[in-house]
Amino acid sequence: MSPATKSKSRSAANAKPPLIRDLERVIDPRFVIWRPEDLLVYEYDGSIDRSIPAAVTVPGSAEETAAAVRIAKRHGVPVVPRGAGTGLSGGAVPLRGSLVVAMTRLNRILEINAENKIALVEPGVVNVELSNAAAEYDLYYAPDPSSQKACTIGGNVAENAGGPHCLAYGVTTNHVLGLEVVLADGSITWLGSDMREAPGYDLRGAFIGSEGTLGIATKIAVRLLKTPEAVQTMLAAFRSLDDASQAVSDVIASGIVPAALEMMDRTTIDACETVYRPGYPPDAQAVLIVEVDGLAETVAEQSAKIETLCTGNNASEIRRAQDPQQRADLWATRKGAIGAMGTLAPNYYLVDGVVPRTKLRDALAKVMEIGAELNLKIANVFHAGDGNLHPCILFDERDPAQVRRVIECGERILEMCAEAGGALSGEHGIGIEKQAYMPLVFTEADTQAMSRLRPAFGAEESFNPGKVFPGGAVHGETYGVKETGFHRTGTADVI
Amino acid sequence: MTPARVERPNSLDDLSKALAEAHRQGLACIPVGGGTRLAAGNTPERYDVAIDLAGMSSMIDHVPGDLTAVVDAGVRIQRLQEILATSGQRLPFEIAHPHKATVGGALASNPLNLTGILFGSIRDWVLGMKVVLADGTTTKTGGRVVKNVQGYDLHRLHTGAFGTLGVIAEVALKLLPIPDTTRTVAAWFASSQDAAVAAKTILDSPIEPEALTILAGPEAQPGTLGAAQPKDGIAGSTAALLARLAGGPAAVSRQVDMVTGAAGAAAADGYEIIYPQEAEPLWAIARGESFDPNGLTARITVKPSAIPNLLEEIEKRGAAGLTKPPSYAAHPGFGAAIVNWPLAKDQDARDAARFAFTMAERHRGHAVIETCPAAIKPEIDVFGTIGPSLEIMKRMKQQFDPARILSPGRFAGRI
Repeated sequence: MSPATKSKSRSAANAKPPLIRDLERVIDPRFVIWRPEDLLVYEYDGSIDRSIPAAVTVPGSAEETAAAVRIAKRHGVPVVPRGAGTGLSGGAVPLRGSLVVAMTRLNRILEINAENKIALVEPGVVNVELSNAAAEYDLYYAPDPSSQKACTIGGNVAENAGGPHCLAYGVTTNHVLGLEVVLADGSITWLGSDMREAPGYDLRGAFIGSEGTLGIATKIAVRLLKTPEAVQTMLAAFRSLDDASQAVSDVIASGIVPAALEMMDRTTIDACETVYRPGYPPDAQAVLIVEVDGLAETVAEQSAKIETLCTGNNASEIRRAQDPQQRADLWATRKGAIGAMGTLAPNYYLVDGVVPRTKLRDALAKVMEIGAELNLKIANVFHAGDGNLHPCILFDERDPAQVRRVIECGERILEMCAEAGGALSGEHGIGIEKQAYMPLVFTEADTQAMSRLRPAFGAEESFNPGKVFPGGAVHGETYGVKETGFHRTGTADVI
Repeated sequence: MTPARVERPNSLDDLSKALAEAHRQGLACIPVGGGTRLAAGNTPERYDVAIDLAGMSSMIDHVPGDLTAVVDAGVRIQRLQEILATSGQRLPFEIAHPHKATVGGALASNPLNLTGILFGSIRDWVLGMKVVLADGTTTKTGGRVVKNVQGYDLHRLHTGAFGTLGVIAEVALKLLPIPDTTRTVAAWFASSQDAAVAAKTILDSPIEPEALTILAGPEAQPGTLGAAQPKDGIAGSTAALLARLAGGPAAVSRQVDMVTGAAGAAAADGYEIIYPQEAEPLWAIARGESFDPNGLTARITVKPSAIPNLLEEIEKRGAAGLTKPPSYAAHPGFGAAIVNWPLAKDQDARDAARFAFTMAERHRGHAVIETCPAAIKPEIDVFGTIGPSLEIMKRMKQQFDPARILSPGRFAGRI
């Protein structure tokens, strides 16, 4: 470093807030971000809410993460952990002038233990990269959120992420054996272990899905599954949404739990046709993507049965993926469906709610009814097998009246889910977006009981303040500039 | 220990009132389900009131189309399975003594799941709960749909907490269809090491048994295996391997061939292919039901790859030190073994407990003493060593039960 640069950086250091100076003592200053123009990219995630952080740091180890937490605590600044920022409920939006601790540099797969079918990873590992690395051993990591090419395992842990294949294989909590975490006092400890059971309270299970409010995971031990010997992915087109819904029910009633069971409605098909040109039948009002996997005999038997059940429900066309490329294409269309919405409207708002599977048909009808009443067009693309709806409300953010109707529409859909005995979120989390709706499903005593976890973890409000529980922030309020900020369509959004 | 009185709530409301009253009086309460796990845990500091949940067993709300059921905590596992079976469904986890054990008791005490190789732990099938807290407050966590990320997963915390954070009153469970066809292959071997070799061949193949267990020792001898007697000429066998295979008929047939082939290649003395009903007594042994209840039973968790070595050490120690040799059911697919040592004297229990903890430590795993003589309990923490997260657990207890009326001292770290 030349003397000139040295003196220049010294003069800049004079303007630095004390928090920054302290962080730079333990973390490479290149990874301590504090200039207002640099902070802008950290004010939002995949949701509509925004809030500017006090600073951002990108630690290079668990120890640096712990140091950052201790420094923030000393300065009375709350900490917000961040993965890839693909979250859809505002979990990574830093409220109350927080320090964002971004885990993206901790991105090593530390170990794949093929014999014991486990992997030890750092939180910044991108979801799909773990399965790619495990493929060499004929193993894979089951949770596969649609954002898997971008989202991180650490973020998946925070949100207890799902994905199309969680119908048969469960969500993140069913695959994480243990975690190394940094607690609010800056100590590092293990929750769970790298084996099936660990004695004591299941702190691992309490931590997963806590949306970054209890600590920061710095290492994650996960189960890997054997790559199935055979896979069959099928597409079935139907002339009515009802027929498709009935086919879903019939498949489950037949005693088959497919690896995935996804549905897209006509509006979604239109969007996909424009972008991906999959050539679905023009009269299809709904398509199902069904995947079965396992032993070759099981796959053959189950796919034949599914084909019969779809035909019995007036499927107008059934296609079977003949090779891995065709299978990949079927999934690319499904996982890219949200991204294709740009062809239909300037903006969309993606709602995540769950109803019991047996109420799927009624719920879909109600979603469309609510949309019609509010004069809003809704595209549906969702995990039909587990009743996880993803109504995608299409609109134009330049019309403030429309934006208000969009918020109301989302609210009414969640109310409907709650009334049907479902959930406010199947996989996106509560974050900022849904905290006001928690009373729809939980009493004050319920949330009171949940709030005891924070002091037990020593976290109080020092991690991700203003999230999950009612009263933290109001959806949309934190978002600064008038009515913009909803998803602009055409981005690589994912569900 | 004997409580001064027994409360028998018949409803959520009864339970809430009983706990609120005990809380006012500062009386220590222990929830009781089927009574199959009363011997588990450390000796409680105090025991004033038994909360017998057997009366809370009327609700079984099964929705086959959702593959879910919401049930009262006092419902017995076997009864639930029978009801679910009428719709072709089942609870995928299998624990010891299903005729007696209750859903609430199973969740609270988190026993070993026989089908862990394919279906994980008991907690993986819990979608939500109603729990009555120490002061009588009724709370709900999770929900009854299979995907749900609203709020903290408190039901995971209550699972395996031995009722020290609250009393489980109602549970929402995720279910699976019963497979078309199920067969058990039992193979007999001259040594457990041979059985382990066969197990590894099976685990490395594309097939996935629902359950895979190595049995050995006097209480789990091939000759004592109930309905399935070994064929002639294999009386010298000391270990058995049980594999349960399920699916469509074609898939099961191929899996059976694969397993018998693996057994043959590992020098099995013989094997049998057994229909489900006849296989049930064997699986009862695999769940540890035949073990000596007055002995010391340890549940040892290690990495699956450590199982052969662990079994060798158990057998060596059994022959050399303790008065009587141990019996065990080991699960090489997910790295767990239930080991039972018959005891001639209290010192045997001390030696066996020390041995179990040493083995766990050597393999960087965990051991929990599930049954042992009361006399040695004050000398050990039956849950073994917890590590630094014990501090969080203690604060958790303080948060949920500051008056320490729920099973005080019974849990890990004498929480």
